[in-house]
Amino acid sequence: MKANTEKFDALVSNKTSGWHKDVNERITNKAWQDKAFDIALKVIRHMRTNKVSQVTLAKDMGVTPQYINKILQGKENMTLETICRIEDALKITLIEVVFSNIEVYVPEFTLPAYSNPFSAKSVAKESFDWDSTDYQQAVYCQQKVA
Amino acid sequence: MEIIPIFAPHLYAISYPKTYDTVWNEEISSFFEDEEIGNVDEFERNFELWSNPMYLYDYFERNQVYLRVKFWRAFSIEDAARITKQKAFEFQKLLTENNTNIETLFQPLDNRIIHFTELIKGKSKYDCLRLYAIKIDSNRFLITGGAIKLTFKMEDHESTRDELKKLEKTKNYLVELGVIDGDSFDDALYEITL
Repeated sequence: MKANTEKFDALVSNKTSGWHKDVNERITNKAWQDKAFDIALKVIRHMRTNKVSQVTLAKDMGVTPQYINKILQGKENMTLETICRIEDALKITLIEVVFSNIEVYVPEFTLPAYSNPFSAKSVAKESFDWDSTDYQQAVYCQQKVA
Repeated sequence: MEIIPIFAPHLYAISYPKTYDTVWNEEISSFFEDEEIGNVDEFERNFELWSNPMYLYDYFERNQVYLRVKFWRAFSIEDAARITKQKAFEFQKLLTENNTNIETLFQPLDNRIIHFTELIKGKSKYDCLRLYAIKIDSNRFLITGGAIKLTFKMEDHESTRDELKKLEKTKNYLVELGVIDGDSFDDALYEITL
């Protein structure tokens, strides 16, 4: 095949592809767009399984079907309030905060044997300093570990 | 039809009119704004679809049977959608960074089965996205469309059969305007495996 590149050049439009703008937005907004994408997939799955229409969901949330459509296409940077309203309307959980990776610092501290603060009947409780920093810290740490 | 520059003078894409329903059918049009229908080029259109959860969910739900084959390792619809989106994103970054050396990214469409087999063996197993193009000159390509490829042969799936139609339509357009002569046209067909 032979191509006439001059004729080809003459046919090229002066328009710019919208892709350039799109790709820059995708790179800049990747973090929230990835999450919006995953949320949309979960909502779509639930709606299909339970035969919930976009109109019904919009009505339950008090928004327009167009807004729901935007969410389902992953194009909406939703607020926590919006996410909670979807969760409430569909009775599903969309996001959760994970705490399992948080390390709790537990200082080495041993309560005096005579005054275990967790025993209401501690013999020496009248003389124990309930407001001491050591005691408050011990309670805090034990609650965290529990 | 219009030829839109993507990375001139190396990469261009066709924009099909809104009356061409192989591209702008009712379902696809629903993912675009009214003013975009018939104006968005194939490069932009495909990457837009490949990052749209609703489009991808629908596509893989409709083609769920293909997800059970070894190629997809029995992925769920959601997994397939997420992988597709991630692949498309990575490819856009790659293209942006290597936009002057487009030639290395394309391979002849005529040998598609051989290349596809090699890729399965040698590279990522999830390379399912394709962009189809006509080679105009050295390091100069015109994108005619794209697809999420689910079968080995293009003729075996509706979406890739549509891509063959689009290649033919673009060829006829270029022949009519005297850009190409149409002889040995198959040698000028290329694809990018994403």
